[in-house]
Amino acid sequence: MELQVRSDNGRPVVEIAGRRPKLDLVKLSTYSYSLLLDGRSHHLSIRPDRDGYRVILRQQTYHIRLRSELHLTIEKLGMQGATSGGGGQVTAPIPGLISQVSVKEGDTVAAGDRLLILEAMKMENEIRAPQAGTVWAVHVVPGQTVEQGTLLVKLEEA
Amino acid sequence: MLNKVLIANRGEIAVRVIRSCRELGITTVAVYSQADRTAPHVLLADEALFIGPSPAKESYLDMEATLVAARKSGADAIHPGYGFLSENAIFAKAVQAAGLVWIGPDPDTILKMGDKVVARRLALEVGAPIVPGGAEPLADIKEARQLALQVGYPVLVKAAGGGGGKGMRLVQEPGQLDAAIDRARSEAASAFADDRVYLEKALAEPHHVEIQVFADSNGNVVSLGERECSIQRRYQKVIEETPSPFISPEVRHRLSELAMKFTAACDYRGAGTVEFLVDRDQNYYFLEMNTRLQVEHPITEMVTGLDLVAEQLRVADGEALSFTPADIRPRGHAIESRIYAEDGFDDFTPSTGTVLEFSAPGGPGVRLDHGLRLGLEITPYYDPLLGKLCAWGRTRAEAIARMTRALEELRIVGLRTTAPFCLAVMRHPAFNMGDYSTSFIDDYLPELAAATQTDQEELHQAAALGAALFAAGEHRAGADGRAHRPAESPWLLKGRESQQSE
Repeated sequence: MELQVRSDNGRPVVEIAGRRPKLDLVKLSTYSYSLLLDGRSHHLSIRPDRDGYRVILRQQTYHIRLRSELHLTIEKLGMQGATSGGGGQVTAPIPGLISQVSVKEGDTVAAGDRLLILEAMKMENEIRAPQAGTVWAVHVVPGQTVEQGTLLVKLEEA
Repeated sequence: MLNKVLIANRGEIAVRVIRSCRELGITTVAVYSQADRTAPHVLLADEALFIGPSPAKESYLDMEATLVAARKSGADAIHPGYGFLSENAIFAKAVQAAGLVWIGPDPDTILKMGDKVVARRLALEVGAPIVPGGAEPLADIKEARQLALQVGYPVLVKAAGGGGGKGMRLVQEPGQLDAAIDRARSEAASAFADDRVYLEKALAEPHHVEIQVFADSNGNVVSLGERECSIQRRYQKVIEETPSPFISPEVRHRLSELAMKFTAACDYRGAGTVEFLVDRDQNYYFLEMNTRLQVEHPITEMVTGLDLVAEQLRVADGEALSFTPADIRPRGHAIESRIYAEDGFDDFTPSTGTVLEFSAPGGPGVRLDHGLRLGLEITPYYDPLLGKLCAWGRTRAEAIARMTRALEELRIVGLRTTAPFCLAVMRHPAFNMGDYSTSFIDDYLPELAAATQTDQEELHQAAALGAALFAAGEHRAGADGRAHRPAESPWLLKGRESQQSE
């Protein structure tokens, strides 16, 4: 099951079947919460889990993973390789921090090889080679902050 | 009248015993291991004494330490609960030798009933059938082969010196027999220091039905009816109910008669349980007698209105039973769900951790015997039974409906329990029809697990939205806004409330 949550001035806004339900979450104790969802009362236990949240109600346990739009975009990019600006130019898909550079000039890489790691939203995103080739130039160093579209690596096609 | 009772146990059963003692005005002494300093039985008792390190062997199974605690506290009796030292004849004897009252049957009775071979002989003497096979331990492998052929495969190889599934082997065909006997022997030797094994026919779709009996020193023996205990995993009970939805009125009557005869024949005193197996054709066979209070005793209390622990205390002190057979008129239906610290959907693997949230169900016909509290550490040292949730109804359907809602109400956060599993059983058609045997869990486990996956979409949505709001920090702290208001006179508040109620 998937639910879309939008942000309106930092406040989450939800639409279910085209309408916005009335939501009220009240903390009862460390892990115990009362949720009124359109007047329907749910007594939840919510605990952060390894990769999301563990929510229990009526002896049913749900593992909830929350993913921002940004996360989803990054995942997609990570899967398909970084955007190629054409002519072997690899650019930053999102703003972030270069936490690791895995290649140097002259290296040969295969398609999908890791070029560097771009940290954004507290997630480490692998930027991979969109195609096989030789590293012509590396334009960033670890610790550097980059904007979206910044040229990261230039590859010469094999 | 007993003045002070030491409870040589822990967890829910220690709490259970303390409650009856208090009602009778008897002072209670708890004993505790290192791990249990702040366990509920210690908090509830009048006095508490340390008896040793966390491992049970060095504390709750340490006879000397327990007797020293009894002497120090000035207790005049020891209640052993179930498990630990409850069926240890040597301990019972030592308690009596120390001049204390042993709340249980005579040590000699414990010894006899602990030997399955002696118990089976006695059963035959009183006319209770035993499962086809040897009433005697196997002399050698040749005898075993012959006997197995005679009763027909599949057969069960069992330890003569103990129970609980240890030393037990199911043998499907002759080729497996020799190895099974070897393994059962070595398992029995290490578990019970007794390598005698016997062999019996494995029954078709057997039911586990037991009779609760009570006897006093004046020779009165009463049957309190049966309990159906067929929902088991690894030969351990998970759900019990009374009356049995399976046995016929004739079989019910016959089992009670046999259980009483057997109890009288072994000079029994106090609470005991005579266990039978009943096959799909309602043939019944004596299995064994448990010489202690049974875990599932509350469902018998619910339908009879008796307090079995209070009765144990009276009988141990030499009083006569407070009821006659004519007083026993079981009313309605009761079910017990055992809440173990185990994941019922992951092969009942043990779960340990801290109890982060705990709230007990309540309301009509519901009872929870437990040893839980907020912040309690559930360690791997002891039995994983956290509590027993029982529900009573005028009919079986009413009891199931109550158990279902009580299980939904029960909240234990911080570790996995068998509550979701029990809930799935309550919702299963075969259980609702009362159509199940000891193979229920094996037969339906995948179905039971799948049933919990079929979401009600609304619950899933609530869970997801709860997590989203939680993550966004979108929750209000505390439901009670009053704390932040300036202090007002309670008289003013009172006045306002009465205005509102008009």
